[in-house]
Amino acid sequence: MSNTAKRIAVIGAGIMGLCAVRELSRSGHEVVLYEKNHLPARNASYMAGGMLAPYSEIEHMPRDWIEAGLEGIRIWERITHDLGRAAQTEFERAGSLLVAHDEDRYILERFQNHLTDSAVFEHVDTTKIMQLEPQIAERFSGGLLLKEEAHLHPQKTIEAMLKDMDFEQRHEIADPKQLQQEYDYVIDCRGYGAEKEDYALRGVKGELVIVRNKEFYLRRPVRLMHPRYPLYVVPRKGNIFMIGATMIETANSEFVSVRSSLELLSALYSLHPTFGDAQIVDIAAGLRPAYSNNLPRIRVKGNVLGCNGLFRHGFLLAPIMAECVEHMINGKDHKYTTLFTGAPDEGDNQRPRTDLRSAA
Amino acid sequence: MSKALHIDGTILKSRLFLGTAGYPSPEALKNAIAASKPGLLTVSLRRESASGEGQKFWDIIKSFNIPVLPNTAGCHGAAQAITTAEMAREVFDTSWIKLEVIGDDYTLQPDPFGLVEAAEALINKGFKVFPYMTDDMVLAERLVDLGCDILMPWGAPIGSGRGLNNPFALKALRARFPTKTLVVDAGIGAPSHAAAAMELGYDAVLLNTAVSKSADPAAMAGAFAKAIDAGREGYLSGLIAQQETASASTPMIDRPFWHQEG
Repeated sequence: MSNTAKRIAVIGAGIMGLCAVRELSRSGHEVVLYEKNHLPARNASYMAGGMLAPYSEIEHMPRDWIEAGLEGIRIWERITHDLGRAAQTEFERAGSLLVAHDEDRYILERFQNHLTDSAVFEHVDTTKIMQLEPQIAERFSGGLLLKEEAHLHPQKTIEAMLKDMDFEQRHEIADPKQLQQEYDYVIDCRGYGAEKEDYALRGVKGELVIVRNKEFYLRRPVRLMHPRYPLYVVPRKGNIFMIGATMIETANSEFVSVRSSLELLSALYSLHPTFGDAQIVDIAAGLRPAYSNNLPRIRVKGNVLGCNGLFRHGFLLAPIMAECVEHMINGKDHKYTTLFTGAPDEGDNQRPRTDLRSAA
Repeated sequence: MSKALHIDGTILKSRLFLGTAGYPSPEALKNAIAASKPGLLTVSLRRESASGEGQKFWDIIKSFNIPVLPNTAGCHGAAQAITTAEMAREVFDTSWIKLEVIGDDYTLQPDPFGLVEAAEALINKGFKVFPYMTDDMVLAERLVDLGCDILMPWGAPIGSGRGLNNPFALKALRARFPTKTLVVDAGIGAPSHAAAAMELGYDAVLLNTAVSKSADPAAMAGAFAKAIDAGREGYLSGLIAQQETASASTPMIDRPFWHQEG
């Protein structure tokens, strides 16, 4: 067993990189974080919705990942507790509410068919929605409440984690090939930035709008199930609401298109007319790194561990991936390691490696 | 076995035309294609993804080696449809275009007037137009007059999964245009719907949502492929005419026919 302290480089200060830094320094390793931008970087994680919603994501994530997602929620609950106050992350486990306008009710039925376990959701009618989210009750005659789900504030969480952790940081562009000579392990968490060396990665653009609306209140994230624009609204403290996100097959996230902002803002307006007078705080685009199955992977090459392809699931799955990485380095088994290493790469017939003891 | 479908000099290996939108992942799409071996893939081109940065997704589509039919989904008029068609010709190196001109944003009902206008313009520019249309006979006549030899009437509104809303109109189109290629496009929800379209003598069925939004897209795609083959063979084998009363397939020797009356 190799439980002695290792020198480890983590590249990329997205949520994956930060979770890896946290997990590895907690288990006594000496960790250096490389990030090319000033912290906090305006990366995909910083732009994320912060929904911790394994059930709502059922159309994007196979059923056998739900359990890992729920574990991710538990870890965030713990991290929030460790960081001191919920105010730091705005973590809240109040479930999420899925609604559809009456003419689109069939989408809720279709969604429900994907969930095999009926214990995880509750049908809600106008009366129940009135108790849960009174301001939107009159617009929706029915919906589904997914009780187990949670949400947090990605930007505040990233900032709180950065403040809380004790690690060395290098503000420079890092090359895993170079660092692997200097360190015992390199954890490559560059997201789409790793695309040059990992051609299987593609970028999927997501656009979002952040508004302030003092006349509106939501307790929990609301997903608007619409045939063409499936969008969610996540409440944040201070009457702030984030609405996202588009999914466009392009690696150019330099702009938000007029079409996308119309889609996002009209969906928001359809939720409640007070959004007509809401203030736009931010409008931005991010790039989700994705593999062809849209699921994350840990790829092992010598002493470099690539943690990438988190797609829509960065906050949900990064903490558990980081745990798996820590276990791999310390030569321990983790329940979920094969979930992330399991699928062999295309054109790669080698068995995936989960045991690193001989690597360093 | 039935004769293969030819379009514009290309032999299509199946009468299933499969849409590529809305799958859980590119890999799920790939598995659905492997399970169903469609003859044609439709793709929806968005201006933003058409640029170089969206290349990876198109590379995936091209890697299947199945003829691609780009569509003009979401276009609201002839001008917009033409721009999209020209962009698609560049990305996919094909002059085939599924022409979709939307008249109503909510039901996505095709605009018959815009469709005729755009079809004419695109045919003049050398495109092979596959018009997505309602099942209206006069509209079909107009499109054929313009030079369309493929017609794609809807089964039901896009994504509705309702099946063949008006089999009578679809039958009438088949009878009126016996030599044109007729494809039921949109509204298919179950394999039986696709089989029913093929039993009417349609040349192919185009579908997307029924597969992409099912719990197991690959298995569902396979089911559709079988249903389309079954429907085609059924049609070619000569379906029996329907009648009002039962008639036993085996003669009942213990019961003389005049006793059946009482």
